Amino acid sequence: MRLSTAGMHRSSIDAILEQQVRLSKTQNQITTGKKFQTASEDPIGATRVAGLESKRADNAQYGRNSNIIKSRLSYEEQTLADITSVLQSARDSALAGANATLGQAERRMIANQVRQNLAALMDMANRQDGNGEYLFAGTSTATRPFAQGAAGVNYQGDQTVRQVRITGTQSLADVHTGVDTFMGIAERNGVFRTTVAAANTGNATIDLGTVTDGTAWIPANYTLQFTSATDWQVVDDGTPTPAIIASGSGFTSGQSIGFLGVNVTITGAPAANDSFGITPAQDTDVFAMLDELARTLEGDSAIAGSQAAFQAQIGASIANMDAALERVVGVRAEVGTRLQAIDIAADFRESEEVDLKALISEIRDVDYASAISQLNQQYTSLQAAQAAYSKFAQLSLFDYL
Amino acid sequence: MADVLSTGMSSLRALQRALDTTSHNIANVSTEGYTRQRVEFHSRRPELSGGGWIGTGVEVSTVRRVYDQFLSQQTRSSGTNLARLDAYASQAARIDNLLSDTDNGLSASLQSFTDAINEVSTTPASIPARQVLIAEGRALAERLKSYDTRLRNMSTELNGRLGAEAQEITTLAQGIAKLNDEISVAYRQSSQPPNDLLDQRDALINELSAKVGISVVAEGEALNVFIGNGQPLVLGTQASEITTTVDPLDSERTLFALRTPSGTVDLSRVISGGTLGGLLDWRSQMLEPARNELGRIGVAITTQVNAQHREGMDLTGTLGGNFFNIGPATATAAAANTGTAAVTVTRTGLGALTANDYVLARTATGYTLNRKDTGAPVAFTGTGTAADPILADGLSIVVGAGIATGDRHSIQPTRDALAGISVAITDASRVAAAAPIRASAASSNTGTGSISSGEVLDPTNAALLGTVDIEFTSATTYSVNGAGSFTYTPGASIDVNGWRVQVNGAPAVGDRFTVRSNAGATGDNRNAFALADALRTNVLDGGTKSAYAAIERLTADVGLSTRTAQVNRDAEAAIHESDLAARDSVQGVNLDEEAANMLRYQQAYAAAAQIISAAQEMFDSLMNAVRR
Repeated sequence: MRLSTAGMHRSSIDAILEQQVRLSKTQNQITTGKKFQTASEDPIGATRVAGLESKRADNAQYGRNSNIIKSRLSYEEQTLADITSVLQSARDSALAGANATLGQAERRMIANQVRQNLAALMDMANRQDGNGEYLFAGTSTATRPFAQGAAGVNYQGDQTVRQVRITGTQSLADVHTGVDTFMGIAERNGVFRTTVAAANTGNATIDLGTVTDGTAWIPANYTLQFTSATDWQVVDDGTPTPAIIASGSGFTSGQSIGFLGVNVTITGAPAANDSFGITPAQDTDVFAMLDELARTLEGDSAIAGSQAAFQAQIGASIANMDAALERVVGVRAEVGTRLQAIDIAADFRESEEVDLKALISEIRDVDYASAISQLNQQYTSLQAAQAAYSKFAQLSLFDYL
Repeated sequence: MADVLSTGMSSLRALQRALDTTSHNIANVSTEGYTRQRVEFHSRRPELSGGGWIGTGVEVSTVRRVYDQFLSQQTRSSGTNLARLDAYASQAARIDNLLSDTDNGLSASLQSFTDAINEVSTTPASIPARQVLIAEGRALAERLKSYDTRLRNMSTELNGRLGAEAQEITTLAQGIAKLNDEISVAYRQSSQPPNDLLDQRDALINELSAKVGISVVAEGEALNVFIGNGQPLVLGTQASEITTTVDPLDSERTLFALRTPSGTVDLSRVISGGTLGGLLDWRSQMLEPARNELGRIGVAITTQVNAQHREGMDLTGTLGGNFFNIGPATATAAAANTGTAAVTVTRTGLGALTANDYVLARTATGYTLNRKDTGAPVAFTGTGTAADPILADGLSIVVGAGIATGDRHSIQPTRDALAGISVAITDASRVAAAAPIRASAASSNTGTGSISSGEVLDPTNAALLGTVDIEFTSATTYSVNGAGSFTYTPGASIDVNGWRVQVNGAPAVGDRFTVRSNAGATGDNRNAFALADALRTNVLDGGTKSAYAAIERLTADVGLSTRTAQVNRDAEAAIHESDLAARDSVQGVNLDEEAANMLRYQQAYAAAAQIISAAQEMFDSLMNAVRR
């Protein structure tokens, strides 16, 4: 085997160049901290890192989403807490007003408080968040959701609740709509309402009534009539001749009268031809409930013209306040659940972030200890190759001629 | 005694040649393609004298190239391979670098766009969030377009380079033909080999073989060079001209061709090896697929976003339009077509859409559709009329009037898509973040029925935004806008006017649900929410791949091909290196060897000179003896 001079030089130089490339690659790894700079250096690793990075970016976005929805939900919770205390105060007013020893002037004062409660409630229901968006308007966030109309308070928002994504697989409802929070609450006992006829001459009053057998109840308008002080009958609103549903005699004060699975209690002394209405309960709203309470306390002749009517009506209002409170507390509990879900999601994202970072680091990041030792090794071998070449290149037989 | 003188003279002459050759070798130690030469001596014819046959000295029989045909050929063939792989790998690395940018790359742009959608989804009433979305949309479009432009530029650049390479190949071929001529002249002058001309010719052939794969066949003293699958490049003293032509089916594509008296013959498909082979392989295996795939990704993103955006409602209460503009699928008539028909192509679905180009050809009885790159036939239905378009691979192809048998049209479903990408809306309020309809239950309802928020099935329905009342005429039936009587099934879909809602629970008689235009719902995010999901939806390749996955796949594919090319290149470089070493170990000059030879020849020369001087002395001695 013989070697050509040009060939010897070429292969020595090639070896040095190759060493240099390797050295520069290792040096690049150390300066950037990454094992690979382009996909070709580790196609599978690069693709995996791209996927994992994309997941991390998504998580960061979900984190921002969560922060925004969290501040809105917290604000809603705060508002609901305010509303609860307003309703609680109205309920206290109703209890105070129910005291039979109070005169009309004192009740009016209490009614004024209720009116103030109602105004405060309107303000709260029309609250705007930090971005000037109405909290309870559904998605019509630029529309003032509640406005006083001729026949009560109107809801002008919509019934859409927006969803916000808080993890890759979980989305969460934003704040409640006005309908969810304030509207469509079944009044009184939830099934029927009892009223004292304005024309009654006796002092008997009627309680809220209870349902003993929900399946027997047929929603319709019924009238409990006293044909004498002790004889009564329940008729429906059939025309032209109302049908008698139930009847009895020997009435005494505090007696419970039952028909079609419901019970009502009449207290006091009814006069002949006194009557009491028993009609299906209506869905109403919190504002109407407060208004009704105020009107009751003000002695509105349409609903509380007599002491008997007032008593029946104030009892109903207390029940209404309870129903309203129950609704608001229920909504608030839901908000609490959502806030909790946000925290759980945040924990989940955080732990996922740690996993993702570790995975990415494992795939992409340089192990400095091994990279530096590799660098040293390559440095040494390049040095050796250079030294060997410079020695070898000096050798020539011509030097000895 | 004259014999001693003549023998000495012959020795001086021969050694003079040997030293000439040694110095020639030393002089050419660094000459590329130089083959070391050696002087072959033989002893001269002896003369018969009384004592027998007496030698008469030495003479040079020839100066020989120390040439190994087999090793030379092997080196050339590994050189061709290396040049191909090197060209491929270095071009591939450019695309790899382009796509590997993790901080500003395509995935990052798409991610920013998705984030911006999410931001709008969380704060739909915020004008700044909407402006950011439009800006990010533009950034994404620009990014896609700039990638496309870079790839297009690479293609244009390659076209230019092919022209230059064709010229160089022609020049090399002419050089080889000329040397063939000079060599045959030299052989005719004497039967001795013109070593340096042979070396020059070999060097040219090596240079040529690094550019393009060739086969070399000796014919007498001449070497014939063939290219492709047997097209003659050099025949004896005649060289053909290599030129470039434009692809008849694609005006942006330059082909590599052999000029013959009857026209040009396309060599692009048959060329293999060499830089040119590498470049052509790279173009058809990597550049064009990558560009088409990038276009396909752009089509997937824009189609998904547009479809969802059209199902939404903007802040002005109008239905959303297209969010992005995108270039159409294109069809080009072949230059040689005799018919005048224009072909219209539209993309109909993402699932079947491919990154391939196609060729539609008219036969006597109908059409054939083939992939442009492999020529594989593609199944299709339809006859190509507007009423019955040709449907294949997510495309609808309509052929206009005036098609002639033999006409060909090339079809590019996605190649030019990104040239036309842009954001179609400029006004932040026109971002359709809201759903166009809202559903509500009447406050007077007494039943427990609830209505879903509704989804849009057909945003083009003219009555979509009209107000519709769903009223329950009994617990089990309902009417729509007071008409009809439909059976109520809880949870079943109710489809009216291009939307769908579900009613659940137990509605009472007289309960009413209303679906109406959602104008004014500035805080509605339902469509933005769906938009964010749309980008993650698997739509490509039969619903198995999202745009994100397609980008990752493209990056991985390009990375993998680049890596493969680089690994092959490195392996071939090692093979070529060892071939070179083997060849040089036979053919190359070794200075030490030459030094030894020089020493040897110098000493012999000095000795021969002594012979001359001895002859002189012998002659003098004789003369002195005679004089006495």
